[in-house]
Amino acid sequence: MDFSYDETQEQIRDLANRILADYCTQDQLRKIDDKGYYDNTLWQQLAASGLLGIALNEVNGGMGLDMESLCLLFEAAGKHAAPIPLIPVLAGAALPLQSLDDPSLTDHLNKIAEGSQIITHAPAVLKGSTLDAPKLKADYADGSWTVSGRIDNVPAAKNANFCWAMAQAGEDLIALLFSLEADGVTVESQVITTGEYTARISLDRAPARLLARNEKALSLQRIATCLTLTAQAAMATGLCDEMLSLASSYTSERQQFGQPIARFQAVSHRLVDAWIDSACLRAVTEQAACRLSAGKDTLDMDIVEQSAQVAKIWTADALHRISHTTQHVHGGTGVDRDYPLFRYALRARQLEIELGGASRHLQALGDALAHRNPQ
Amino acid sequence: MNVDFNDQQRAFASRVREYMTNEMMTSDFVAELQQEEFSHGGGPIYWEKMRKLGTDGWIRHSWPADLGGAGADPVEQYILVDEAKRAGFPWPALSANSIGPVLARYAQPEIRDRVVNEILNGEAYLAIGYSEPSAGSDLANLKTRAERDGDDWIINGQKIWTSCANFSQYIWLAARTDPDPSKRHKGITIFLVPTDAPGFSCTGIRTLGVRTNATYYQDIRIPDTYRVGEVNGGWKLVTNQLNVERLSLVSYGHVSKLYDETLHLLRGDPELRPLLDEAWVKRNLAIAHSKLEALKLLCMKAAWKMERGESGMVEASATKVYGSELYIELGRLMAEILGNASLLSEGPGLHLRGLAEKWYRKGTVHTFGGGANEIQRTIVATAGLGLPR
Repeated sequence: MDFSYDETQEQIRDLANRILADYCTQDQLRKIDDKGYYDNTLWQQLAASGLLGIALNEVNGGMGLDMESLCLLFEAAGKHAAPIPLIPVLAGAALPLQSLDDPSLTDHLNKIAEGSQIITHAPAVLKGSTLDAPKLKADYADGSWTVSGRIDNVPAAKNANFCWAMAQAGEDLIALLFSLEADGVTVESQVITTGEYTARISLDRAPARLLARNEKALSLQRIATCLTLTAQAAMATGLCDEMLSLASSYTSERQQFGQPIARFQAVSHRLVDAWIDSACLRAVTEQAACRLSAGKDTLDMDIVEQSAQVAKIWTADALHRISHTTQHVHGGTGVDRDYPLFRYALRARQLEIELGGASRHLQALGDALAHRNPQ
Repeated sequence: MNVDFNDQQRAFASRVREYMTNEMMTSDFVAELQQEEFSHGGGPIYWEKMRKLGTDGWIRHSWPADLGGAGADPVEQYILVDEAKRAGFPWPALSANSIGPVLARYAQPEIRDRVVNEILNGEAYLAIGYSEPSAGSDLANLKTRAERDGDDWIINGQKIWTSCANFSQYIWLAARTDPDPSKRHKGITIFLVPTDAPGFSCTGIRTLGVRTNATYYQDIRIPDTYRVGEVNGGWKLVTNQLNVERLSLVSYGHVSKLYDETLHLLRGDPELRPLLDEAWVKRNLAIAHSKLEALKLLCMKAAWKMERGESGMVEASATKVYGSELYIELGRLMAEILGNASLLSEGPGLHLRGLAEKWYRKGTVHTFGGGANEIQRTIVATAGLGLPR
């Protein structure tokens, strides 16, 4: 048992925080608020400093570290409300694709690491060991695959070059990678609550390449889901830290009835409950990241999935409660868009809901607890 | 990072679990603990088990080496108490782990070795005499008096909630030795009062959960050698509560017991198993599981911090708040699943020896015992969040 980070991980955390602090000042963020809340120069800076490739293998242009290390980047991004699509690109696409051990994907992965290509992922919902009605249909003819159908709220799709998703191909379930710039692909922007663009992607016999089929495709989706849930939890940890830090400073300075309002137990105890929520979130997030970082031969997907679900349940509950508590103790200041807290409130909402809230994951976890063999 | 116990810690945990299950929780002892009077110790078999626990070196194991213990690190100490509580053994945490080491450090040589040996051998229990009818969270308000008379002290007063006093050999007593009202915290001294001293009496208080006591001190005369620490220096000893002990109040094994046993029961009992197909049952299980996972990790992290030489004070206080409130919530989540069976205290149809029924009655005290949660929150507010006092 050791909850400490090693020297390399500490360096990653410092580097990430340094770069993000530079690029995420309120002035800079305000400039992109109406532009999809995406900062390509920051993305390029992270690529240049090697941070996009933390968990990619060296052959794929990365540092060859694990999910635990990558989570430090997600956490830092949460702390700074960073305007970049780290979760869908790294946890949703790059790491799952890397897990396929397919040499023909090496070029894509190298390009992600160097910042010259963005691959996103349109997650499908797993129901037990199968898929809940895939929205895409794939056809195989004349030696190549095409894909048709419509998917909504695909993250980062406006800036992405490729997307991978699950599709139905006759009796088979398959995972496909397709270009977003090809014929037959229409990408329409959707604006979500944070100001980020997601997209409706309409596909009409668009060219695609097969990534995996049936069992292998399902386990690809499963690992992508676990990685994404854990990445959300790590980002939420950074978010909660920053929200609490803003609230602690504000309530320690704001005077009413002749004293700082943090002196009122009604205020301070509410913040302590938020602090305890955030300590719980951090602990279950570390567990999920640690489980995902186990070597390939010791990786137990049932345990990984359970700890990722637990992390997401805490993510949703902690974000919901801490976001509102910190807003509340700020009074009007918290909702003022000249003060940074609103960014965290919006991102909190996004991370809570994307890929399912607490109720969905409680149901899945409950099914597993009731019917899977005891650990 | 590694969030699991290492091999050595795991082996230690299973050694303790095996010992507790096979040697301590024998059926005659389980039956004795079912009697309300003996539900947290004090029966004849309890004392047999305590002496065996002492002889087999387990109490010693949980003590710091410089005080005559085996010097287990905080993680092993945590595992030991956690596994004992998981098994349902009434581990003497207050006496052996909270007060014992403080006594070993501060008692006068004339009595120290004898009492320390009695504790380590499982022959003595120390009840804590802090609370009074008008001194609870504001302990410095205590009124029990100790007055110097030559080489002796004369003690007069009353304590309340003196749990375990009915079977303890000693009371670890906080008494006022300076009546000057301006010296609230600085006028308190600790004494070790033998319960066979003339003038000591104890009456039981039946509570919602377990038995506790009111204890009375009428002109009790004890030699100065029974004073612990300096005169008027008792406050330091009172607040020198080990964070390890605070942690053990809500340790994972102790709190998860009801969930673990309920799930095991549902899986194994053909009449109850259909409940596992109900969505609301699965939801309750999932809520319990996800909250218990956090408690497990909070406890391990706090123990790990203490092992590294950090105080772990904030972590221990936060974990106490979280764990005690989870204990209460868990009692509800599992009782909902068990339905009417969770109301049964005896008779046919009893599940888990009536654990769910007891849990509700006994659980209430967790949020105020061992330092009220409001006090713990205030510690976290200043030391954890850095809010102004």
